Amino acid sequence: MEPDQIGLFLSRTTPRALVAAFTVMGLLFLGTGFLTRAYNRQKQERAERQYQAGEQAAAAGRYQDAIQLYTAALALKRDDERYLQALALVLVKAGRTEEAETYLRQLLRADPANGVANLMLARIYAGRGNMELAVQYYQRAIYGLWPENPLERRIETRFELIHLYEEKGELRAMEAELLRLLEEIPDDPKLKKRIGWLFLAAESYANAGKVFAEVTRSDPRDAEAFRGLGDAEFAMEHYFSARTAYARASALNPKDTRSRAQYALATEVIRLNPMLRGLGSYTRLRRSQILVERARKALDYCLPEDLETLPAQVREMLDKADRLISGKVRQRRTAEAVEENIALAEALERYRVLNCPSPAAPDRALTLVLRQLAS
Amino acid sequence: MAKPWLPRGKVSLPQFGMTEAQRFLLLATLIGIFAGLLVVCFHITIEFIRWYAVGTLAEQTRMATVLSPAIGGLIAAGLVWFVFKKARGSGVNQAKAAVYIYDGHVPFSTVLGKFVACSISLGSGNSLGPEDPALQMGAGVASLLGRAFHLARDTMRMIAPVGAAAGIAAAFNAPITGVLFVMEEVVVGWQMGVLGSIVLAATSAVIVSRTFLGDEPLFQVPAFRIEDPKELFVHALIGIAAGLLAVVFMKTIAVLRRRLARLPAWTRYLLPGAAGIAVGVVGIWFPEVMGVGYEAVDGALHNRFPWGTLLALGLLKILVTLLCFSAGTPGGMFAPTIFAGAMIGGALGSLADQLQLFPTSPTDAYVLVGMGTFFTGVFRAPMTSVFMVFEVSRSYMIIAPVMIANTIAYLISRRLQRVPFFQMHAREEGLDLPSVEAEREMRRLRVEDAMQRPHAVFGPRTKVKTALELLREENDEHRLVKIGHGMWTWVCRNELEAAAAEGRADEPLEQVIFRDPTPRLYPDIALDSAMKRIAGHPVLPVISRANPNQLVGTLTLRDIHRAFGVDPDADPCR
Repeated sequence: MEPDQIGLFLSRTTPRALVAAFTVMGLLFLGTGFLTRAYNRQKQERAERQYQAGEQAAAAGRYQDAIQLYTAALALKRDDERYLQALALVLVKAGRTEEAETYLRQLLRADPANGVANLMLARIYAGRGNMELAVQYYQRAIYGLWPENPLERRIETRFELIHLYEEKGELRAMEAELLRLLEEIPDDPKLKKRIGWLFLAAESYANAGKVFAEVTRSDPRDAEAFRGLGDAEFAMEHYFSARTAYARASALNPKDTRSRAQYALATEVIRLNPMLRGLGSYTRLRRSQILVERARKALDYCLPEDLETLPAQVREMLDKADRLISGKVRQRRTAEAVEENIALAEALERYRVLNCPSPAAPDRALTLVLRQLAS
Repeated sequence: MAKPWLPRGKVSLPQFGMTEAQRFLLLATLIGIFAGLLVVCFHITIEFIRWYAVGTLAEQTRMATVLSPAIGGLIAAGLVWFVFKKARGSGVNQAKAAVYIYDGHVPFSTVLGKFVACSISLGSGNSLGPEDPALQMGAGVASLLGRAFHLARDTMRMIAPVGAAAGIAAAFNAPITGVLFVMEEVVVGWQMGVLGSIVLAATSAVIVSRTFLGDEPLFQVPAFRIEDPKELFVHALIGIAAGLLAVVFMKTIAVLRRRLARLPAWTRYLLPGAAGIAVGVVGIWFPEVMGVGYEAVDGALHNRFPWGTLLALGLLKILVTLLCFSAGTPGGMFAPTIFAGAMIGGALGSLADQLQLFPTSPTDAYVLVGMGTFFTGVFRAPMTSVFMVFEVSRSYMIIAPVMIANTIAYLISRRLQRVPFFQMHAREEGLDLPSVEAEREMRRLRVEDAMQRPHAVFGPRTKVKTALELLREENDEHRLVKIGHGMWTWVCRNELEAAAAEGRADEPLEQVIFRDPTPRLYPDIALDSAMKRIAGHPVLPVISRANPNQLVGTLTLRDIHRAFGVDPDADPCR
């Protein structure tokens, strides 16, 4: 029958036309259904094949091939989040962040809580130096949904954010994130130590001390925790506690030379401090004289050969120190004498800091003691 | 003149207690379902052919890339020339021809022909689109159903646009776009009656299409935003570029088709093959230009290409589409124009970003804005293109930039290319179809353009002699009489003279004239509609819509003639 005759045949009687129309419609529905099923199956198979090939290419570092394969897979199945995510990740790796961004946004439109997509966007913005958006997406990633090991991924994401803050020198924000992280982590000494070190980097010494102390309590043989505790106590100028912690750390790990050096430094600071409780008046005076002596010596490397070129005030200060060191001045064991010596040592040290070309302290123990005395 | 959309004759659909309008709506739904099913099959067939002929972008081989469009083009064109002869030509023009020439008749062989030939040509990678064939297939299905249900002639005429809207809506997966395109391009004049059927058919078709193919939009569009108001300059620039390119495109098509028509007859069978080879050669370096190309538009919407590539893709797409279309390869032009516009928009946006003159949005925003501009420039359907982008993006923010860009492209195209694309193409096919654009812009005369200032009117108690004296004094033949609240009639001088001769000069007019109230006119109604009402009346009152007692003018047949520029006494033969 010619196609044009179909209409004529159908139009002979209306009921027949209606029945015929619905019959054809039913058949067309069935046919389209079969066709669509075959089409979708074929599409799925082809997409999966391209995706798998893309995975192999990405694993082999052939990012451009992987991008092309993932794109082809995605063109066949545009709503597949696996394909979208894989493409976005490989685009980021290939440095095509603008393109990756649009796919990530597409992923987030479908699933705003997608942890991976939020993290990738956070990294893209961090790379572009847009801290505001980077932090926003890091936070969304932290509180987002992760298909595998969610707790681990959230913790790692927060660590990444903390490192970003550290890099940007935003220490208060870093401390705040660390405190949040501390509440979230399980009882894992490794993680706690990592947090402890980051607290130290954030100059949050009290928190660092607490964290390391907690770890040492749960494992008294953890040398690293003792070293961390020592560093926290040292930074807070608690030299006795620091010395104890360093002593324990170097005992537990004899190869830990840094702890040993820090132990020695803490011991020296303690030995130099004339204001410690329980010292006799002679010892106080003697220690204060040693401070002057070491402060004068610390200046040696940057004074001119001809001292006459120096201002009169400086010459007078140096002369005073020299006379004290040579014993030409006899001091009484009074608190005033001790304070006078400390003031002289501080003045010498201040002169060194302001006028010597190298800011590095030649005598760290002296610097630490004077700082402690000043505070 | 607006055609009645309801059938005058008997419709053989079963009554089911429904009015004729409701039965027509039911038929529109059936048309939508059939068209939707057909378009789904069409889409799947194109995809299957593409997979086996060319493969996906990642699988394409050079050999397949070069040969596939050529072979596909030759087979498809051969089918149209030798098997489905009625399937030649533009779907839009064929749908219009069905409305204005063939009383809604679209041969079913056209549907089969378009389906088979366009599936092959598009699937094999020729640079054309599926929307225009889908439109014609929809019109064909509608026509078949209309014939099957014995629709009256006037209704049959309206059935083709209903099917056309269903076809294009299913192809775009965008019902509003389908409806607007048919109202802008196929049906001359907005007829609210048929609009309901068109909407219903388009919606049914889209629902069917989404049932089978999923409700994914045509493109995965990123969220649109404007970074800086200065970006509107870039949007305007996109409109200018697209408008100019559209003019070049149309003029080149006209020249190319004219020249190709002069070649010996046997060469026309080879032209689709030659165009296919050109597409294939370009496809080796730019595979994105092959086929429908929506994947590449999606890529551009995801910032896949730098500005140079975007520009190259846009220009190359225009070139290969020119070749395919001029060679007579079966397929439509919608998809290529969307592709070209998107790429040009993206290229200019990306370039603006590189120049860093002011903060700019990501490239994808410009791709989206550009999408409808070339389409508008070529097809002169600005509303369709604005709503198409709106429907695709689902963003209110985009309306203003898209309107700016599209309006500029439209105005440039109108200014520099007098004949619209479809009209130009229809003339080539030997059809003289009404121009929707011309109709849309034609100024309609209204009653206010023809009416005269009102004279003094008579009341029902005015005496015959008083009225007669006044008419004689003013040398007037008739006058309006107000006979009640908002009711008017008229009286003639000879009537009054006859009454006076009968000795009734002192009687009031209400006892002399016994006539129904005349129809009332308002200043804003169309003059041709007033003309229908004036038959049998020497004068009609034009009253205020706010106050039916307030006479704002009078209208006579002579006034109407004058407004239309007609001299009834003039004899053109002398």
